[in-house]
Amino acid sequence: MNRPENTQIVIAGIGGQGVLFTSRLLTEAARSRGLPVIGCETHGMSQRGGSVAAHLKFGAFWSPLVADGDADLLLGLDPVEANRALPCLRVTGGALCVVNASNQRPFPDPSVTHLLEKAGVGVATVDADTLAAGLDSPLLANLIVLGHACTRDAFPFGFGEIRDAAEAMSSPQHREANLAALEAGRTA
Amino acid sequence: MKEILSGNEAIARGAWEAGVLWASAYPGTPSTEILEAVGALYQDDIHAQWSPNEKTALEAAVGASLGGVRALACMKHVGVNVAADPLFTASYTGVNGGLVLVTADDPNLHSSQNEQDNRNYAKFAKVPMVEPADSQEAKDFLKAAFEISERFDTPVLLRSTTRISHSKSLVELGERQELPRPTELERDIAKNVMLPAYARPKHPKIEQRLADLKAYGKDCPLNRVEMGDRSIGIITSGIAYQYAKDALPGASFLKLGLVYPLPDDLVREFASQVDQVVVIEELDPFLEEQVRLLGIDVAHGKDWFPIIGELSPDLVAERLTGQAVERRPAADGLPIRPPVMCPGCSHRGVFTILRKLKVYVSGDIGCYTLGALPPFQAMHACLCMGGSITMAEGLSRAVADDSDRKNQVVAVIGDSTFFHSGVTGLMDLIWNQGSSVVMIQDNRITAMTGGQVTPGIGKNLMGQDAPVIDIETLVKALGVAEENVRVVNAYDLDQVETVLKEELAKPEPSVVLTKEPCVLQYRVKAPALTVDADACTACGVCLRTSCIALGMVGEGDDEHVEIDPNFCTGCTVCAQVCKFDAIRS
Repeated sequence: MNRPENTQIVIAGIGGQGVLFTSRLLTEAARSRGLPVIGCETHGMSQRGGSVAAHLKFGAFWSPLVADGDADLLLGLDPVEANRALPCLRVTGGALCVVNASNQRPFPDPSVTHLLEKAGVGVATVDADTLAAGLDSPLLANLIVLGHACTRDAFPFGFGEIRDAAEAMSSPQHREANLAALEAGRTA
Repeated sequence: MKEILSGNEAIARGAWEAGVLWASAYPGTPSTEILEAVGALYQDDIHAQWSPNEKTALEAAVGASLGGVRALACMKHVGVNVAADPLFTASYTGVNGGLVLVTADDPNLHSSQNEQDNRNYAKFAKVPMVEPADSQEAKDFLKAAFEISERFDTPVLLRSTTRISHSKSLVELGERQELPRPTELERDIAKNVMLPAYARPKHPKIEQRLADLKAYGKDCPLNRVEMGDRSIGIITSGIAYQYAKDALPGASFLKLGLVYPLPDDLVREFASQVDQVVVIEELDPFLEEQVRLLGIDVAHGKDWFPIIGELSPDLVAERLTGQAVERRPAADGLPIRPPVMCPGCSHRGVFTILRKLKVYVSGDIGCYTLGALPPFQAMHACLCMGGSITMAEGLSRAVADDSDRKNQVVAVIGDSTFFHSGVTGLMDLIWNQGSSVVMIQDNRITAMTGGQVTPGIGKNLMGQDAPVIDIETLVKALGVAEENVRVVNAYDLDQVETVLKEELAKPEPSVVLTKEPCVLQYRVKAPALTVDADACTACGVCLRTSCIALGMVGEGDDEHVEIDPNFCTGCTVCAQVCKFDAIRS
C-alpha cells in the first residue's frame, strides 16, 4: 500500500475539467517523496471541450508516455473519457481505476465489464459531479475523484500527502474549496 | 537545484542561462509556452516579445544577433515556412551574437494543419540542427546551440516535437551566463548585405561550414554512443530514443543530439561495432537516408516505423522485441469528442448566419476554423495563416457567370491571423479590385493557442502598455471605403445577417468587423438562460448552434432541450434561433 515507486498513471477527462491541475498535484506528491517524475500533457485544442489526457510516471522510466497495458492507475474525470482510456490499464497485478460516474453516466461501459473483471482491475466510482454541485463548486469534480482515490489501497499516496500537495499548489483564493472537495471525495 | 519543467519551460530557462538578450516568437502549438515562460520569468534580463508573425520574429532576432547579442526565435513547424525567407539568407550572413531558431514540430497533427518534418529545413538551409530528447536536454542543447552558432558563424535550429515540448521531467538548473553588451554596432557590408557579389563567395564558405560541422559532430558531446548488446545498434534521436530505451534498455545506441549535419565518421564507427543497424525516427527517413548514403546496411528503418503520425512506446516495443502487445480491454462505440466552440463563443452566431446564407466561406486559422465541422460545415477552404482573403479573391473570380449570386465568397479571419499576414492579403484584394466580403472576427486575443496578446489590444508580452493597432483604422487606410467598413455585434444574429447581405450586394470589397471578446480568455458570463419545457418542441434547431450547454432530455412528449447552467454564458444565440420563444433569460 502507498508505494508510488514505479507507478504509471493516466488521467482522462475533458478540456476544462482540471486534468492538468490533477496531474500537477500528483506530481507534487511524488516530488515530496523524492521520486523522479516524468509525464506528458495534452495542450492545444484541449481547451475547447475535446478529450484531454495526462500521463505520469514515477520512478525509473525513459519515455514520458504510458504505453497501452502499462498503467497502474486510471483517474477518470469523465466516464466516457475513462472508457476510452481503458486500454492503458495493466491487465495483471491489480490495476485500479477511479472514475467520476453515476447511474445516468455509467462506468464501466457494459462492453468491457467482464474484461475488467477478468483482468483483475479494481473499479471505484464516485458521483463527483453531484457532490461538486452540492459544494457549489462544479469545477472541482477532479479533486473529489482524487480524494476518493485516496481511500483505495492500490492508490499510491495517502490522503495526507495529497492534501499537502493541494495546500502547496492551490492559489490562496481556491485553497479552502480545493481541500473541501478532496475531503468530500474521501468521505464519499 | 532540480525542478520539474516542461520541454518548453526548459528551453526558456536555457535561454536565460545562455545569456540571451532577445527572444521573439509568434504563438503556435506546441511552441507557445517557450516565450510565455521567457516573458513571465525572465523579462528583467531578456527582451521578450510576441511578433505579428514568424517572419518578423526571426528578422528581429537576426537583427539582435547582428547587433552582437544572443537572440532566440521560436515557432511551430509551419511557422518556419513563414520565416523561411530570412532563415535561408541568414544562413549566408551568419551571426554576430549567437542565433537559435526553435522549431516545434507536431507529429500526428495534435493541433496543426500538416505534419511536416522540419529536420529537412536544416539540410535545405544548410544550417546545423540539434534535437533534445527530454527537458534537461532541451535546456542544455539550447545553450550548446548558441555556442555552435557563434563558433561556426551560423544560425542553429533546435527541433522539438509535441512530446518534448509538453512532457515534464526533472531539470538541473544553472546560473545565467552574463555576456558583455556591444558598445557599438559593427558594420560589415560584405558579411551582411547579400547582393550577388557578396553572397556568391559565401556559398563555398557554407559548404565548408557543413564539412567542419560534420567533423565536429564526431566528438560533439551532444552525440552519445551507449554500447550494450552488440547484436542490435539503434541510431535514433529525440523522443524516439526514450521509447527505444524503455523497450530495449540493453541495446547499443547511437543517440544523436546534433542531427544535422550527420557525423559520418561516428556513424560508420558505430555501425561497424554492431551486428545490425536499426534507425528509429518519427516522420521522414531523415537519418536513415543519410546513413544509407554512407553505404551502411540499415536492417530496419521506415519498414518498421511509419512515416505517418507519431511513434508510440507500444509500437517501438513491439518492433524491437518482436512481441505483439496484448489486446487490452477496449470499450466499443464510444462517442468521439471533437473540439467545439466554447459556450458563449462569439464565432457561434456568425457561423450560424454564414451557414444560413449558403455563401462559400474562405477560412483561416484559429478557433473559427471549427466552423468547418458539423453541424456548421460553413467553411469550405482553409490553407494557411492569412490565406483566407487572397483565396477569396481568386475564388470569387473563378465562376464564369455568378449573376444569380449563388457563389458569393466571404473570407473569415480572426484578429491575430489578420495581423499575422491578412493585412497584405487585404492590400492585394483592394489593389486588384476584388469584390469579396472580409469578416474580421476580432475577439481581442490569439485564442486557439491559449490566449496571447495581439497588436490590437494595447499590451505586449511583458505585460506593458503598448500602442493599439486599430483594425478599423487600418482597413480604411488600406482603401476599404468608409461606408464598406461595418462593425456588427457578433451576438446580434439579425444584425449580422442584414449587414452581410448588404455588403454581399456591393460590387466592391467590404470589411465586416466584430469586436466581442473571447469568452474563455476574458471570462465573459451573463446569467444562464433557461428553457420553458412546455414551449420547447424539441425541434433541435438550437442544437445546430453546437453549444455543449444544450442537451436534449426526456422522451416522447416530454422531450425538450435543457441548458446546463454551469456551461451557459447567457450569450442568447440559441434563444435567437428558437422559433418558439422557448429559451429565455
